[in-house]
Amino acid sequence: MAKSIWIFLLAFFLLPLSIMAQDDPPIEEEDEDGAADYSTLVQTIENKAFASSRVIGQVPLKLFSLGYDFQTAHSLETAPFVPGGASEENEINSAQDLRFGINYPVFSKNYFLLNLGFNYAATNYSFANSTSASSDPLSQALDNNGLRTMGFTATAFKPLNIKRFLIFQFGANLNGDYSLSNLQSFDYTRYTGAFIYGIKPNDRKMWGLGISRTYLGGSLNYLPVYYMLYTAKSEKWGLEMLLPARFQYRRNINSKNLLLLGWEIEGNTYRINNDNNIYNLPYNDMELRRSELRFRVSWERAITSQIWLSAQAGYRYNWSFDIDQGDFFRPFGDNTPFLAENNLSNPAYFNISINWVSP
Amino acid sequence: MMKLGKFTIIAALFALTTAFNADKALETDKEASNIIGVWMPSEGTAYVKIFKEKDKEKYHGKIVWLKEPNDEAGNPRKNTDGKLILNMLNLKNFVFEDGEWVDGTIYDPKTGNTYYSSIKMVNENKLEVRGSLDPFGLIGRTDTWVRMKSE
Repeated sequence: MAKSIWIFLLAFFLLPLSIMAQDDPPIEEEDEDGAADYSTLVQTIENKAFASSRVIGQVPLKLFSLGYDFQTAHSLETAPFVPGGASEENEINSAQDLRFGINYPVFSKNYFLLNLGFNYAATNYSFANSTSASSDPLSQALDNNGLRTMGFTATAFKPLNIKRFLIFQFGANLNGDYSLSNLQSFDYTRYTGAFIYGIKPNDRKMWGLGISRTYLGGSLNYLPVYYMLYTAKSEKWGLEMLLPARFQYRRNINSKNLLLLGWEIEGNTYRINNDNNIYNLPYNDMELRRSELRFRVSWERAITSQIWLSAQAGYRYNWSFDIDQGDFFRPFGDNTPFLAENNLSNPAYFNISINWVSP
Repeated sequence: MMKLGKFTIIAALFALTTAFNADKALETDKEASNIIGVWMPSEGTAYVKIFKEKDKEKYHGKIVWLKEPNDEAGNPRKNTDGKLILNMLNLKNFVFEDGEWVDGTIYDPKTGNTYYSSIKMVNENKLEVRGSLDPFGLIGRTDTWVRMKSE
């Protein structure tokens, strides 16, 4: 069984390498028609043209990704979880993530595209001094369990014609301090979604406006989104953005080397498990509103036409690391007090991933 | 009633089988060559002429017309390797099997990438051309091409 899986994986990863550039000698036609005038031909039936989902020169779509993320030393200052409690400060030597993602095009025709995805990330925190039962609940949860996120996404691209398109996105995520052997209840699944209406004037530019249901700021929010992919006429540089979540300036060094400069916001709400009341608190609905802004420079490099390496370095700025009770809509400017407002200092970070891409 | 010898029966069966196989081969050959002609991919920016290779059971395609044959500087459009796109072979080495043209490759001059490819004929004027990253056609994209004719 294991052997078959290896053969299957080898077929996927190695056989595509056998596709070579088309540099063979000329091929003689059986019935050469000489110099025909093709410009006068007409269609036998109508073939409606549709906008494609990509622009020239953009970063390749990652179909399968395996990555490692490392945040350098920083500190966590937690506020009291109960009235009269003491605040606490802990040093974190590092926070390390393992990230895994699949994005599979289940239906891909010129008039409709549907990608289904699965992602998993596990963040482990290494505290300078191990926490104890008397430590605050958040530090104990991070030190003992770390954070997990596991999710399913569906993205549909529906071109209406050669210039206009719609994008629908749906996500369901299970986030918390659970482990794979002790999964948290699916009742805590959090749902996200987005809808974008867009225009593609040419092969180098597409943009759109829409609305999203998101946890980008840590709490549930509804935000307008602006989507744009652009490549300059020289094809030497471009912009790729989905504001406010991410922005990147792209420098196309060549078709196998891309340099990116920009930011990305990563946000989610994570359930902190207190099912057995190990934290001795009068509630069991704590959620960590985690949101971080990552300023970064990335280098995307093709190892083969379909295997790309991505190396990233930057600064991780903490936007939110506060504790709320339950899941609720919290728009920007909302003054509902948090259960605990915590301070997480801002370290440098590095990320490396290997990706199987659709070039 | 005439009595048939063993040899006569075998000879008759052989003749029938040969005739049937020849008919079938002719039919298959005719069906395979239905793909020959000029086709337009869905983007409508190029025409591809599909032809049979001389003395071989292989089908290929070349770009015979471009909506915008020249780049912004007025020079003939080239691919990422600096080769002329017009008259470039972009479909190669298809063989006809079980009603489909398979085992070929398709080249995308916009990106410079070559993909595994198979072609299905929906009707005499419509093709479904699939390009994929894997040889099994699992991860890829299917485009609809229509046949072009003289006015």
